Amino acid sequence: MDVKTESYVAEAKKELVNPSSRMFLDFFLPVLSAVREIGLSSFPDPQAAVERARAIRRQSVGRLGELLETFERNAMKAGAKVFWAKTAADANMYIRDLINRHKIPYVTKGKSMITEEMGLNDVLAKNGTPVYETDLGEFIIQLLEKPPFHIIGPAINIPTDEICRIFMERAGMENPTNDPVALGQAARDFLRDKFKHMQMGITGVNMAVAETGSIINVENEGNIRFNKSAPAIQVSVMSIEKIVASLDEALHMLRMLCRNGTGQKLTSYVTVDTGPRKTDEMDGPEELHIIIMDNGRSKIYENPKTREVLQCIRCGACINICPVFRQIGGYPYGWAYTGPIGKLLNPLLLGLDRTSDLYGACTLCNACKNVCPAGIDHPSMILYFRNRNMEQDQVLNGKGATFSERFFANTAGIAGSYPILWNTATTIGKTAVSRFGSGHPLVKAWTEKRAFPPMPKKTYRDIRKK
Amino acid sequence: MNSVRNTILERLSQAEKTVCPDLPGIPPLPHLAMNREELTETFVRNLQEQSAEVHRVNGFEELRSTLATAIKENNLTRICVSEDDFMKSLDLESLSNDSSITFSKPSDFKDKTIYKEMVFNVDAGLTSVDFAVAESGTLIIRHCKENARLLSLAPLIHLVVVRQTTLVPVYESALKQLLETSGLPSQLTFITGPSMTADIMATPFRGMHGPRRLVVILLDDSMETQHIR
Amino acid sequence: MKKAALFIPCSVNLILPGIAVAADLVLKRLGVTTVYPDSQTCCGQMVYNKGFFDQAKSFARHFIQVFENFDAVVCPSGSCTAMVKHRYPTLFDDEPSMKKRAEILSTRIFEFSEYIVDVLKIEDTGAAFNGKVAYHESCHLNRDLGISAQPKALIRAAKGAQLVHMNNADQCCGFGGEFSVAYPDISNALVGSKVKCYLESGADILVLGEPGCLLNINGYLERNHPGKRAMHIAEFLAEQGEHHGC
Repeated sequence: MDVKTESYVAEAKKELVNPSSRMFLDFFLPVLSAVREIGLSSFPDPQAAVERARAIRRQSVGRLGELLETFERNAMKAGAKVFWAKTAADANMYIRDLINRHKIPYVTKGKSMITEEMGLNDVLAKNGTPVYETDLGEFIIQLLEKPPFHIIGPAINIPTDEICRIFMERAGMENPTNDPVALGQAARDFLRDKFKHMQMGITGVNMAVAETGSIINVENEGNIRFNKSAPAIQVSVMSIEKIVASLDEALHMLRMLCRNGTGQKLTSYVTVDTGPRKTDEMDGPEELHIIIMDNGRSKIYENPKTREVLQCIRCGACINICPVFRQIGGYPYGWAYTGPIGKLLNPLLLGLDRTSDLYGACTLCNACKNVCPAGIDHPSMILYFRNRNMEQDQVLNGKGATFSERFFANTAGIAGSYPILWNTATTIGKTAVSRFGSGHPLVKAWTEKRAFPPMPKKTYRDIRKK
Repeated sequence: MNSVRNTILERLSQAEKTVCPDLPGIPPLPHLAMNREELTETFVRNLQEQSAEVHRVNGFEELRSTLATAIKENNLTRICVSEDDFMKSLDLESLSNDSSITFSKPSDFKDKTIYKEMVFNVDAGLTSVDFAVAESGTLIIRHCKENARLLSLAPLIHLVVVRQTTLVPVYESALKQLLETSGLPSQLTFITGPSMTADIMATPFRGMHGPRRLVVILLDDSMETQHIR
Repeated sequence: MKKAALFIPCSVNLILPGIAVAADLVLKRLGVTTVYPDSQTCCGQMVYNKGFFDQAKSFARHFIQVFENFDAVVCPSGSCTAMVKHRYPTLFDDEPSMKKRAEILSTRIFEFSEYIVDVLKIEDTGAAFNGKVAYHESCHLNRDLGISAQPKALIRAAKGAQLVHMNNADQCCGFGGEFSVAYPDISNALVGSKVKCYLESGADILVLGEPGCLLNINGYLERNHPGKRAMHIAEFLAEQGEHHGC
């Protein structure tokens, strides 16, 4: 997937005034946050349920190596093939080779952020293998070649006439319509044909269970079920952190995932796969390939300050509550992950230097940390990134401070320790801003839309002195 | 490839250990304290909230006539049926008194490709379930030779017969029973309502890929075995 | 007789000294002797938020030294209080003795409304305001410090004041310190959204506890809705006359 994280400001500017985005950001997101609360209220003690989920994820990540080994052993015992991929390229190659070995004419996919991170579709396209996204939203953005707008509704902001046009061009729809239901039907018909003859389906994994070697997926549409059960070969990709120790823990996390994502007690379909089909079954995959992908995560794990990000279950609660996301939507984040979790993952996977606006454009309001069922402290990690960036951290690819940034910080640090210096500096600063400041870009950034009060002659310190 | 695995696992095991507190407990879900009637009402209500249709019936005669009505109302002519003992005991053939209704079973088709072709083209799949869960109105199907996967996925209509004796309060109850008896199948499916999406302009659309209608017939078979938990 | 040291944020000291004057007035009215440690400079929040942790430590060292001998330190800003209370101990993770001093100080520092309600155990401060009041839940005050009931109790207890509901009261107003000028388009959109909710609430005045939010919201109001304004809770509580918000 193309990295466009450096166009954050420009994209945000466009989205702030984009009418179709605004309609959904202003209406849809508060609704999702509200139904999340309603969903959680079905627990006798919602906060206790959240704390338990946080502890489960903390433990899962704390014991990650051990759980992965147990998972692999049990998955293989059940007949699955397990492939460990160091990088996205390794994972892509494995899938491509599998396709070529079996002469697979095309593949279908369920919604999977991990495969977006991998850029799998591009690799398969270069291989000459058509890839059909089967989640309705993903299908639409694939045809339109747009990035996802939102984790749950990737195409929810796209006007129906645009969908109608692309469906008629590329999804075999014959009669024009602006009716969302008729458009959905057209997508169903087109993709059903692909399900009938498919030989390989690719899915992500919402949760892997170490004690049984099972993988779990949640969905409302049924396309993931098709991807698993219609073809002879099922490939499911998980990054190393998507694991819990036991079925009991998985069940609690499923309750939390569905309520936090869409407010549902459970999505329409949850499937738990333990190995490929048994030989006497009428349907199901003959081969189940589970790809366990690292792609930079063991490095994230090694740093106890960044390890916490691996607790994420991709529920979307932080995305829906973030005031910045609510203004700009998913596009400005420029890569696979958006919203507050995107502010953490994209910098860690791509480098702090390419993503400075992502962790820069945050008011540290703490709304994300507040709702996170996985126990991630986003604001602390964002501050950590800012520090590592200023200090030019080699591991995280910090850019380093500019000369003037460091100059002001150092000067301030010194002045902050000596009241006389501080008072002098702030008096000079006050005068400078009120007399000469109006041309400075930072001052203009404020005064373009907001008034600034006149600088009072006396500080409180002066007032207090008399 | 083994070296990739070993490198990853080594890096993880050598990293600084984090302190992981014990898992805090939570108050039990209220369903664990419900009696059978409360569980049934909760199950029905939850399932209806997820846009499934639920019919409660007493005894085999009412079950068969409700099924017959559902088949007629939905203009169903080709129905594929799961092959577990319970479904076999329903004697469905006699429901098709006119030859316009055809019941088929996956094992009728020796060739799995032909079965797949067929299941994509029938009007409805008719299955039983292994468990019904009150906490969310969820049906749990243990897929196996007798209960194929695509039956409850490919057709536009999924007809389900649920025996009240398979009703449990929470998912854990079902999993516990499952693990004590047959163990985990290759696929365990939880169904909570029909197939749904709102991906286009947040407008709900049912039957995106899976069934458009989920019709549940809940059979009170309490005269037989008593086993809720 | 209670004694409290006043920790006055830079934004108040330099730009909005009226907030400090009002806070001092209210505390005196409630029987508190206030001390203003003259050698205070700044908590270092701005430098810290930019990622300059070492420089922030310089501010912190000085701050702790200035304030640590007082039994109570009171501050009319949630974010500055949170900086000292929650960030200072973590800043000194690698210096155990400083960390200990920071931890002790964090038990003695209070945000203004928290001090009145939780320490002085007072809700009726003698304030009076004739009209409807909406309350903006500033982020650090609300989520970082968990202070929400206290300012609202103080508002309700003001004679003649009616606390009204405001939509999205706890959504960020878009100030975020440097964010307001580094990402002005998003900041403006956020403050616009906040003001919209304020206007829709039907309140005569908007009260809040964070000087940064005040600058941001009043700045936007003055340019776009002159005649409507926001007020710091200290200023609100200082009012005792038949003042009607404009």
